[in-house]
Amino acid sequence: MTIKLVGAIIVVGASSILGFALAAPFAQRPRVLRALQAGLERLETEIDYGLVPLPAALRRSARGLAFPASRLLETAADELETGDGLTAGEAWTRSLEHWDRESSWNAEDREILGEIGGWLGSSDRENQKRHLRHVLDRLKYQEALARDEQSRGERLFKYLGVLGGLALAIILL
Amino acid sequence: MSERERIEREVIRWLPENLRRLVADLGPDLEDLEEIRLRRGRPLAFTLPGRNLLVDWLVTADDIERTLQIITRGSLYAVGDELCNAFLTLPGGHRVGLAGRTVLQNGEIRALKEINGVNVRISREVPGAADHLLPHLIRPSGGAHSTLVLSPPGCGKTTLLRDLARQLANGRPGLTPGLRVGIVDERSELAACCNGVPQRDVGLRTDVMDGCPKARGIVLMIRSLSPEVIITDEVGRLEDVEALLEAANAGVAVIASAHAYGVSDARQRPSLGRMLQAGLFQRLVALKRQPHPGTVAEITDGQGNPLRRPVREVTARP
Repeated sequence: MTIKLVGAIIVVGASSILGFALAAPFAQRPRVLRALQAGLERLETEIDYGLVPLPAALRRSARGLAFPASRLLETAADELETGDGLTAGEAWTRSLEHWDRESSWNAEDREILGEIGGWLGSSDRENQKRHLRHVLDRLKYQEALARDEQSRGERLFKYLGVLGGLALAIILL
Repeated sequence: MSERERIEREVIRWLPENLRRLVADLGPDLEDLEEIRLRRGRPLAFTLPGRNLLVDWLVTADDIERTLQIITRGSLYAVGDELCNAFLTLPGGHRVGLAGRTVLQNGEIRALKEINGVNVRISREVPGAADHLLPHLIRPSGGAHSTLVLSPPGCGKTTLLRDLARQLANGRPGLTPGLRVGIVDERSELAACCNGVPQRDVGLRTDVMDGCPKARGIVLMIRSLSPEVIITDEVGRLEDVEALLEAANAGVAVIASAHAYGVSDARQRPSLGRMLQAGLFQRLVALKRQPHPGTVAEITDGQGNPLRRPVREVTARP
């Protein structure tokens, strides 16, 4: 009887852990979207108030951000400074392509980020600010959606793990 | 570093890839290159000594856009004020002149839009351009005479002033111990400041007031930086006269340049005539372009009487 009880506890425990592990990636996308917004907000400040040249502005904005938002901004700055004669937009696009595989943004997020390559650095202060505001609004909306998805997905997998384990244990007992 | 390498490193790197190749195609002419001109929809042009070369490439809007982006390091927003002056200064002191549509507000230029022309002027420093002239501009006490340098454009006035600043500030054994020099650089051409750092060697004891209107700058300099010599480019407006008078009465020597064919010509210009009448200058120097820029045509005292000692040729070829 004791052995059966220990076995049942192990089964429930293992399946719960599996459930939690499957739920974890759902938290990733909102976190990345949040970090991206923080970075772009800082970029807006650097551009609008600081009039900081773009490579320096990108680096400053990247400081302290979570991966991959930090690396996205830094790589864009690197690309700009290689001296290959890239425009700011091209440098951004390259960086985005580089980090595509390792990041958890979805197609819609990707499209919003991709649009930045169309205007970054190529217009006056007011215009840059307007564009950045627009991107930030859309990312915020994406973040809200992602959070929604997160809470639903997380709950689903966590319950599934625990309850599945219980069901299995009962069947086996 | 050879002249060619210098141009490649300091100028050509700011051009987009496709234009870099066209410039490189110049071959040995590259060393004498004076200007690279981009005009939208028209052939790429190079200015070389004595000729204007058109290249078989029509400059596109994209070429101009890219050039601007590379020059501003993708930060067009950060150079709004410079764009209002229609030029940017590159590290190394090279100037990029811009043509476009100006946006006016209350009669002031607020922005430059639809840029359709870019002119990259390659600047060259000529250390020693003032070598032969300097002895004539120094007082027995070691201070400097107030001097007005006169010539039409393109005769080497700015180059001469820059070298005078350098030599006066560094000092020259047997002539001057080194003076505190103040440069009022209204058009950023003398010191060619880039992010506040002079890109030209203007001497060890030199302060630069960059982009400052001459008349204001001279007064500010006297008040706060106590220069012994003030050097400034292109005087000739009426308000300049007063600022120069102020400097003269404060015991500060002024070395300035102005557009005029010669000493007698300068008297005809209203503002210059008044400066000469007031006895602001003790030396007048006229330059000519032949046989090469920087050649001294005449040098006189403040009244226009030639100096007794003749000036040897000033060699200003790089």
